[in-house]
Amino acid sequence: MSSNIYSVGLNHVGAYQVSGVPFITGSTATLVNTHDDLRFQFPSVTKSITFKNNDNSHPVNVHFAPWSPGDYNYTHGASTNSNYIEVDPGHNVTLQVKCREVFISSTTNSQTLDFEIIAELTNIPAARMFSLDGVEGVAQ
Amino acid sequence: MTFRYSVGLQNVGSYQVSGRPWCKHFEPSAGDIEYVSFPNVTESLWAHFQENGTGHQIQLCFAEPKTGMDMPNDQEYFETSNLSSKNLSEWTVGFWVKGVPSGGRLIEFTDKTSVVVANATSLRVAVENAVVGTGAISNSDDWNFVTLSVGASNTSLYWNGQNIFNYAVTKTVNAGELFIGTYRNTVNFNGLYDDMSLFSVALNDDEVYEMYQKSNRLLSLQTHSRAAELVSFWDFESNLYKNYVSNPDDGRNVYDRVSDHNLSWNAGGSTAPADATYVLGSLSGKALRNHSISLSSHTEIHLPFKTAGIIYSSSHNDEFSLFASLTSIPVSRMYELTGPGIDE
Repeated sequence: MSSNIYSVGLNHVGAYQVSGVPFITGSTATLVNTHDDLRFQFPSVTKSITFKNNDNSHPVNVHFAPWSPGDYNYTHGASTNSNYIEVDPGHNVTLQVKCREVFISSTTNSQTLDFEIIAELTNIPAARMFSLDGVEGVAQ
Repeated sequence: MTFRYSVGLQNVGSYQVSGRPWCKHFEPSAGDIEYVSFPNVTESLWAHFQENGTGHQIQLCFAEPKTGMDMPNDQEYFETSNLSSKNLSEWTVGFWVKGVPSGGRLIEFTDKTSVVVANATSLRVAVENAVVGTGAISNSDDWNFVTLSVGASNTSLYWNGQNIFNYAVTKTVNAGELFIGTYRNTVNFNGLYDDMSLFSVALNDDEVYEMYQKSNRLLSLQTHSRAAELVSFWDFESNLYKNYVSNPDDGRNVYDRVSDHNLSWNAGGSTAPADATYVLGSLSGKALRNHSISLSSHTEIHLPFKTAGIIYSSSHNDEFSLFASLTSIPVSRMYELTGPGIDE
């Protein structure tokens, strides 16, 4: 029997209607400078992502491109046009969004993060997701 | 090969797949009102207000970002053209205005009939340059609708469709040209104007109220019971945020959307002020007052709406985050959001 060489496309509705595969990660890293960021890549395209900030003192920034232009092989950065959202201490937010990676950045110096990322993954390969570098509302 | 086709607004699949991210963190100043446009139609939105502070809030609404005109200086004015040839012996003019004034003329006709802002709580009417009386108003730096009805035997003033002053006229004269501000080198009202209409008849109380309710759109005014007497409508639309008209107004020309009585700018006085500029108009003001979502400190909301943009208003120097999940539907496919629940 030949192997299955086909994969699901980015606009395949059914891939988003079925419940996704869980993907859970997080970090307790200490970031030295304000707006230092961490990159989290997903093995397949997301259906939704929950960002849970367990730290009760400091908010964290969530963005879909690195904070600074030129990082992680991106030409543009999220900071240029404030393309980020802030998650309050002790709060969480769930975003219905497709992407293949997210970035978390600190909001103060020497910030010890304490957050979790709970993603609902489709079976669409991450390679099918288009680049968000230079896209309005992400990094432009 | 160029891809020439796009997805339509009712394409179910466009909303069932997760959208691509759009996000922005805002740091508005107190009193800021801004329109945020999206590159594609949204599948849903999420807003989160970070600030602490009693009474601090962000308001969100979905009105169309149509513009109004800002006239911040004392002596500049706009003047109609060719209106005197209409020989108007009775007329009604209505318009939206915003600002807490300390004085100055709102409008004036060549015959020196005018509406003068006496202070934040009263309007005066002058006939042939003589003040004939005062009507009480409740001005709260919001958009309000002023109407002046001039007839053969009576001159009446209205505030948001309600009669606040009547004066028995003793003779009729030709209105001449209409001025926004005054042409006689005295102090003008400093504030915002929007959606001004002129009828060639003295409307009665019921007709003025109908005018007030239909005043924001030419299409609505054309269903007014006295639509046959509608002479002019100036919407002060500059296409600053979206393209609504083929001949947008600018700092020196305001076009009559009904006839050819266009308004032209005049610096007035010895020192020419800057051209008139444009801001979000009365529709967004009505939407923010009556159809907005308020976020207080550290609250958030998920909004499952399709839209091409959103208007926010900030009560203080604050911070908030806005996230949108975008479909692949171009915003050009989105229709105008207007009507009950949005801006009326």
